[in-house]
Amino acid sequence: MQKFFRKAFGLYAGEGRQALCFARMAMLWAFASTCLDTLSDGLFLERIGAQFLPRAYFLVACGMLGVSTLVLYSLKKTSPYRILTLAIGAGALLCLGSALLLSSSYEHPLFWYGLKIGARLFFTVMLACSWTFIDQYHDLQDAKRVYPLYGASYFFGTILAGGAIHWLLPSLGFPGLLVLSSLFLLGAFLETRNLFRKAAPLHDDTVEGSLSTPRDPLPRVLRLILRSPFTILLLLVSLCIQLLITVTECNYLEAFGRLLEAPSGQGSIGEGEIASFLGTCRAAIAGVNLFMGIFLYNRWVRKFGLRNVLLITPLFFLGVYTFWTMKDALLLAILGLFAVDGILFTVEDTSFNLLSGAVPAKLRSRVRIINDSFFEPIGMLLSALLLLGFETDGLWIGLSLALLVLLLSFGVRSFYPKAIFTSLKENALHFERSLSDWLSFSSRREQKQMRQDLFKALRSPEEEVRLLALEGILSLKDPSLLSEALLSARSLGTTGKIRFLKLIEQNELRQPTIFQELKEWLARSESPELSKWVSFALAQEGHLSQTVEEEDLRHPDLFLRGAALLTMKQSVREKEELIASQIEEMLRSPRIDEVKIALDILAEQGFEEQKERLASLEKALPFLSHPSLLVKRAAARCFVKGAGSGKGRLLPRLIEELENARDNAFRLTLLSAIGKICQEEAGAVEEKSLKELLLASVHFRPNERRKAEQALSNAQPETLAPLLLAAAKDIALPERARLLASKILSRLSLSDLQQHLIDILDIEIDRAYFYFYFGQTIQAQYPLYDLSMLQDALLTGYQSILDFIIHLLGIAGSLEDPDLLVRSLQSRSAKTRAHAVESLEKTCNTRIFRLIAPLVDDLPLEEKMAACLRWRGDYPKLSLEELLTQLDTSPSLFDKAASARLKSTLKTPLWKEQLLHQITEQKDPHFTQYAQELLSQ
Amino acid sequence: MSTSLIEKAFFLKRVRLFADLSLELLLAIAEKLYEDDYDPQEKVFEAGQVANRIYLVFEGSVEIVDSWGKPLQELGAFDFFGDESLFNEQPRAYSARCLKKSLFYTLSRSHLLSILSECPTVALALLQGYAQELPCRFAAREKR
Repeated sequence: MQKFFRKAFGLYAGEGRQALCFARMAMLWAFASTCLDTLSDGLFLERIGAQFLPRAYFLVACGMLGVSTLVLYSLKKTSPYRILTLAIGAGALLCLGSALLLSSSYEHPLFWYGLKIGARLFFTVMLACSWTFIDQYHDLQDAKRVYPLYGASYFFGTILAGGAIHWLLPSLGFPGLLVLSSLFLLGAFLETRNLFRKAAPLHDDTVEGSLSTPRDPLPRVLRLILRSPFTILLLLVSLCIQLLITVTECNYLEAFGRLLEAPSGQGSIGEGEIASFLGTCRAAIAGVNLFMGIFLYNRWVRKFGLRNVLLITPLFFLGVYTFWTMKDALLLAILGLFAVDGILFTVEDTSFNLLSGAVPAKLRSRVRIINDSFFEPIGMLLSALLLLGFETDGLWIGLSLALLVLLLSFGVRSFYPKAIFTSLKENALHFERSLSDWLSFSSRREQKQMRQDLFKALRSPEEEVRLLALEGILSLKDPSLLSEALLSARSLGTTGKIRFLKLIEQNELRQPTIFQELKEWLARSESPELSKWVSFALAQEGHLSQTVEEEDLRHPDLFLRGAALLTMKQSVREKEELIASQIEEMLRSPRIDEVKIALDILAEQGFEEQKERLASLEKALPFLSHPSLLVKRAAARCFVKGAGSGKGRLLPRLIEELENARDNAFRLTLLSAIGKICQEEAGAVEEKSLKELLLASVHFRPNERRKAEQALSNAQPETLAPLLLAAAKDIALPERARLLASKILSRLSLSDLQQHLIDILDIEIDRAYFYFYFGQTIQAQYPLYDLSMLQDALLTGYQSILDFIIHLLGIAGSLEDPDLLVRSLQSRSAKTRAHAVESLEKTCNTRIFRLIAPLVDDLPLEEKMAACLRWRGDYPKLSLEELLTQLDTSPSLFDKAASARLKSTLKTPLWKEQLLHQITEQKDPHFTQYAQELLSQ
Repeated sequence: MSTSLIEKAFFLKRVRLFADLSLELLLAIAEKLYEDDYDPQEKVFEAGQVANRIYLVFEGSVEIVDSWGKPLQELGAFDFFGDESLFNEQPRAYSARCLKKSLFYTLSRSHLLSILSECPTVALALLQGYAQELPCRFAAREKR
């Protein structure tokens, strides 16, 4: 029975008790609210009349604006729990007070207006507060499963209320039913308190504490909304729906008043007749809603997707109004009631809650508050004005609004997939973006402001700030900005000016104005240190206009000697031999700075002639493995400046140096050189070199990985793509290396990767389930052994394959930041994890998502094990020894090491012999070292 | 008008944690800063509260108060606080109250962790800060 219940409502083991509590709370307040609303509607129609409904709506709308402001203010000061309990209390007081007045036959017209307004306000506040309260305890994936259950409970409460009105109104009368409602509200209060005490809320990483709310001022909220087309469309749909609700409600109530009166022919309606009829209709509609909520909505969303389900509401309204404008019939009025109380509740409300997950995180809570608290009153106010203005055209207004909602829903539908990923992506840090990129992502106004701030910083009294501004301006590579930058650079001290020279070199700026300015520095400089640097910088670019004598080539100052060598090289061709011997001599020097200058000269010379360039690079090659970092970096720079056609044969050596190096700047420079070679020489990257580069990338930093990706993306797709595909499939390669191969492949030929994706995934999913299954079962199989290390190794293996799968999917789905997806899936916040799953679902092919869903979703262990067994049928019962033997053959070094370690700890038979055999077979230096340590213990 | 990305990046450069970063890295971090302003005497957070963010003081001043209400330290522009709880995953161990009208830029835990993995110098700056406090901790332990 419990299993059936869980299956019917999509609940996981252990979730039932809490879910039932939420469901009971919804049912109890729904009963009270429906009773109050239906009785007040009936009484208003009977005592005041349908023609005064627009006036009542106008007043309700004004009241709602006040109450909404109060609720929003309260949310800043206190928790959703307190507001919800206060609202329940206020509702109970309203029921009891009205019961008292009704029993004392109080008949003042203002009372009927007051009752209608109060009932509607209570319903609105309860709806907003209860969802805000529930939201604290659920993430997006939970919401998809359990919100329909809460919706169903609400409808069950409505059915009970409709039944109570139908059966008990004659005996208990209006006051009796209102007292009963207040008792139900007492029950709702107790459930809420119980939940608050026992359930654990999910924290969102974007806010400080559970009591905090966004502190953004309204203009900023509006700016954020204007930047998100999805949010704008979603809010517009919501506002139009609110208009549609009031217009439709007015239309059907007016039709009920008219059509129910007509058959009796007596001119007036009996006491409670309309309330009873409305109660019966609402109960029946709630029954249909219940069925839809439990059995249909969830399945529709899964089968057709949220994007399609959101079209149901406008299409239904459009259908009803199309017929209603043609024929006035009670059935169509009932369908209008069904559209408001049925379709809107089951489909639209739940869809809005799910769709709001794609709204940017900073706006999400605001959007919900705006929708729940302001749109209803604003919608009601506007529709009241519309109805007052076009008194007899209610049906045509409804038809036009239904059409408008349909059009807007199509807009929401088309923006949803992008919005859900953007909402996740907005969390990513874009280290790869340059200042120019940031400017291009900004509005014109922001661009103007950013440029102004940059130039303002040039006038800062702090040299560090001025240098940062100069770094920014130079990175824009805009000659028109140089004059002001150079003017500011003039005020820098010697060290600052030297740093500025380095910035110029990094940015490869070759503008005449820069060299003119440098010449002026040289002429005016009182610092010999600065003069040296400037001379060398000018000489590098061939702008040092001074005569060079032979003795200058032996100048004791390295910079001046370097400048002389460069100048003479460029101006006096017949001195080439002398210059070459001088550089050779410097390269042989034991002084690091001398070697470095010699390499800098090598990097600059011989741009024109290929032979000369090759000779320079040959000379620089041995210095790549020099013990000094300064020398290594200078040597690497030679390959960036001198790399080009014919240098492909140097590639293996560059990759070898990459593997051995640890310095970030050196690696980045080498990768730039590799990129240049790939660009200029088709087929430069062979299988062996690629494999070595991929293996080296395992230890790369994030910016080095990005650089490697960029470098190899310069290669010819025809030659490199097949090699990359083979590497992506090669399970003997580390996962990081395979991912880099996939990333480059996705840049060169995305279709190739997508075509082979399922093959790769099948193998990986199988491996993941293997690790997961034995990670969860092996200890229970051998309770007397301590297998915690093996268990950890298996579950780590599972996690790392999972990361690989997500990265691969991200890459194949051409997502910009698969790293973010992985991080989000590992986040401590359940809400962030749920969001990542949703994003995957929206970007992956459906078939692929179904395959990986049990792996990535936050399922309880029982469900994951069931998914595991569904995948493989039944796993063979492996003994510990068999499992360890299987790990010995794994491509992962970690698996092999864990197996060896466990064998040595448990002293399994012949473990030493097996280990020795593995050492000779695998020839992996890391494994060999570890195995030898174990053997020597 | 709100603060531009450039201005935020320049602000970060003057915060000890980010002083060694290049403009490109600073801009990426600046984009994730969340602006939070407080009135005098307003509490930023209280001891025991769930911690998700580090606070960088842009302007104003803030008083750090222990869980018994004893003032520990006063922080001003370019200082930062609230980072410890992000690493030990414990609730806030102290309260923070503004002394003047203050403006903070905050970074979420997940962003800070991403920055640490990309920029080792930020991790080093944090470690230096913690290491400077260690002798005091040992002294306190010895006293006990």
